[in-house]
Amino acid sequence: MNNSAALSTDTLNLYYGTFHALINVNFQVFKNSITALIGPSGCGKSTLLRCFNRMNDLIDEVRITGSILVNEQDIRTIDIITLRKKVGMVFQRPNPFPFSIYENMIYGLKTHGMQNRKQNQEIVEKCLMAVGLWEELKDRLFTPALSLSEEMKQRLCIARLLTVEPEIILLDEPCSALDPIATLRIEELMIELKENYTILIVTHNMQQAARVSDFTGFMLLGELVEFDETSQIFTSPKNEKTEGYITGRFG
Amino acid sequence: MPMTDKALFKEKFIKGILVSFALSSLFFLFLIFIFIFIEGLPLFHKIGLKNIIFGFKWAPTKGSFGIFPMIVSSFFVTFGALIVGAPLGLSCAIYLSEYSGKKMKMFLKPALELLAGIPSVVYGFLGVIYIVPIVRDCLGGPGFSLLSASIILGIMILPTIISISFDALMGVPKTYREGSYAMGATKWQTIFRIVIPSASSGILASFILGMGRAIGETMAVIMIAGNALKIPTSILDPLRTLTGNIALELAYATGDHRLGLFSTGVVLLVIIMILNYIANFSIKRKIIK
Ligand SMILES: Nc1ncnc2c1ncn2[C@@H]1O[C@H](COP(=O)(O)OP(=O)(O)O)[C@@H](O)[C@H]1O
Ligand SMILES: [Mg+2]
Repeated sequence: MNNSAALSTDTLNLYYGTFHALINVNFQVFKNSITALIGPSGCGKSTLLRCFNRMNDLIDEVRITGSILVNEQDIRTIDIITLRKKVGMVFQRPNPFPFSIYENMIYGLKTHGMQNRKQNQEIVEKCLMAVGLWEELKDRLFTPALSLSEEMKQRLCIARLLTVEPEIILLDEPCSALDPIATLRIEELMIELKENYTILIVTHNMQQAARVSDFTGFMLLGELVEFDETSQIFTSPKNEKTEGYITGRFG
Repeated sequence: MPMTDKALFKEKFIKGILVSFALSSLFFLFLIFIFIFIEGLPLFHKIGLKNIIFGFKWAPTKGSFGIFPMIVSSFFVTFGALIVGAPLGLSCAIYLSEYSGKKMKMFLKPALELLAGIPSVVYGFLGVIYIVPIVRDCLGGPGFSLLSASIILGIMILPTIISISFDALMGVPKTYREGSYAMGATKWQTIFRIVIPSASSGILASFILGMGRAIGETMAVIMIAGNALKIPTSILDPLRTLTGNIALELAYATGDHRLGLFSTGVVLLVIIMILNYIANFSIKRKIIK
């Protein structure tokens, strides 16, 4: 684990119109670690996650103050396409495009101007291998991606992301559409990916946070209440609200 | 509150009336089919399917009932209309669904409905006054031509193409767009590589229904197309469509001539049925997928 921050925010505030959704958030994600964001639904986890690849820009009426840094660089000074290439995102519902598996896989490559067929094929193979889909899919790369199981769709979405070589991967409740066994397998995948990528995951599943993450942030009503090493948060939280949430007294 | 017997009876009565109204529209459709086929089919038997559909000569008072030039002409104007209307309509639908704000949508949608509501004779009138002279002066020929008819029909089918394509584009899930943006795609790339391909079957259906509208259009075409009885050899040649043929001659036709016009109607009906079937099929395939 490397000690410099891949992602961080400084007194970050975000408003949806007049609604104050993130309140003075100071937060870091360290390189090559898995950081989990937990908290009751509606507390602003997804909102915080979406700040790092500027997905909130797609929503009208969003206003942001404070700073957001990626690799210690203010994201407003990074071109948005470079930023989104560097900071990839996996969504709550697996969202492969309604094309073939192969077309899904080369979408990012084509988008970023990589036309070399042979090279693209190699990248597709490498990335499908990284998510453990290659053996199963190599003979049916041209079948529709929508015909895959939910778990495989989510793996495909992760693989699709890896093709553009992100450094940081944001996952927004990536397992909420999956059954428990598929969930465990995706968790294993995350731990494997940690070697080469920095991972920030939002989850409503505390066991999941405890199982996979190195650091955990607990959010409540737009505030980051506590942030610490995962073992610390789950064994001896400093804030009583965190303790209340972890022991299941609310949320 | 439990319903009283009287209220229940009233419910049933109202439902019954509504059902019979709904079925009556089916009944009328059925009646139209029966009527046209009864009148139109005997001539096919008498003259021969091939002599009608592939016959080149239309001289109904002398026993020639070839409508091949009109079939070809109908397809020409239909494709001409599509060449004019499809790019315009699709661009407009893309603008509406992807770029325009709420205010613009609120202004453009009613404008489109108005465009759809303008009587075709008005389109024909505008065509005669403006398009025909411009074509004649700039490009030569009589002005009453395939080109003029295509332009006017292309405009007439815009509402169909725009509104159905628009629905198809709006139906593309937000998650696809988000997935594309999150990979660093630009808006343009997202629209072209994700949104349009995802909506392709609906867009295709809009084109086909637009064709159905164009091939069935009568008044505007009669006024602009020149109605000559031959296969046009250039876009500046006049032509006569199936619909035009019926409308122009029915008033004075008798005997076999009249039946010949019904046969023309049968051919037209079959073409339109096929187009509708294809449009429905391409929409349904999407839903099943
Ligand atoms: N596009 C939006 N417009 C207005 N309010 C929003 C929008 N998205 C989320 N919110 C509000 O912001 C708060 C945080 O939402 P979110 O980040 O999605 O929570 P979480 O992911 O923790 O469940 C919620 O109260 C939600 O209603
Ligand atoms: Mg969320």
